[in-house]
Amino acid sequence: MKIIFDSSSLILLIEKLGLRQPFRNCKRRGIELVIPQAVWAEFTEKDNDAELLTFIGEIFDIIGVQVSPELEAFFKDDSGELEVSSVTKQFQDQGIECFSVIDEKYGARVCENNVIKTHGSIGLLLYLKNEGLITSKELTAIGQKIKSTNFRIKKEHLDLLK
Amino acid sequence: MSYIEDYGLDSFVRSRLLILLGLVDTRGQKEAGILKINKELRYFQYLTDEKNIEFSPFNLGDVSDDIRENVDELVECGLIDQKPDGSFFLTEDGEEAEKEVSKDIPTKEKKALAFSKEQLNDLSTDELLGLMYFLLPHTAVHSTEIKRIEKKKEDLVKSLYHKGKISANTAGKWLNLSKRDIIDNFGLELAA
Repeated sequence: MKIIFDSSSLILLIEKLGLRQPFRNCKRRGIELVIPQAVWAEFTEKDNDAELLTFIGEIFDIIGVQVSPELEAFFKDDSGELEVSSVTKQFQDQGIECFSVIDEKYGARVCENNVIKTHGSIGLLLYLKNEGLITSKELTAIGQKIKSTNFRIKKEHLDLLK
Repeated sequence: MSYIEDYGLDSFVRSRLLILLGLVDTRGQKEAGILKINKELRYFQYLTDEKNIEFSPFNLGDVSDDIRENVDELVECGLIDQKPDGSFFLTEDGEEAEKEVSKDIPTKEKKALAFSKEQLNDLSTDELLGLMYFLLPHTAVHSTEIKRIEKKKEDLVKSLYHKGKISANTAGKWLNLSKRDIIDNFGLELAA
């Protein structure tokens, strides 16, 4: 399994919520966590602390991506989402089990229209729980913590994390 | 009988008009007024870089005489009709013609038409104009509305972003902010 991340999900999960162990568990399980280079550039626009960058370097694969011409039209201003959707599509076309993590509605809509498997951060957290990589208790705590950020969560989604 | 031969539906504009009016939008409706049709086909042109429809900047931004003429001709042919509110829709014959035409249109174009309709169908008039003016500034050179729209720019960009019509990057570009600034200032609703 490969999971490909957009920058907004990294900002929420790694930077704001400080999640580390669930991703270490993924790596241990052989789940590949992928960050396209354009996403990495967006994420590192802000000076993040050394611990965070070292953690990402150890756990995530930062890869160069050949963008898909059919997706370029939809992402003329969004090299990050273009690379996420392109690489996910390429993995899918190769028969590799994968999904992308995109929270922005626009990017998620483009992926849906192009039959690219995509979840938001909530979907990712539920996947981690189903795979036994995070406990129910941890998930509930994460849901509460999200409420203190500027990321908004619908009540029905918050209920899913309980 | 072939609709394509009988009604000249091998024309680029006519065939795309039929496809567009055959698509169901997010409100479950197919019909559209002439302003929406113009903007949807202009957005389609932006996505595909097609140059087969000629647009000129006018009072409300880019419009096409080609589109207006072909809409009128399709009405005369009985393939589309107009409701009392001014919106156009496919007649029964139009639905059949659309099915025939659809077979010859590349999938990439049909996807772009569907996305264009989905992008614009649930916008208010100001959101619609804002999206097109900010995306394609040269189309607003003769606009009578641009000054009013510019005054509401931040609100319109915020609303377009929250509706998922533009990304945080695009919103940032239009407001001279970074993606992080947009997420920090406007928030981001998490998806499942």
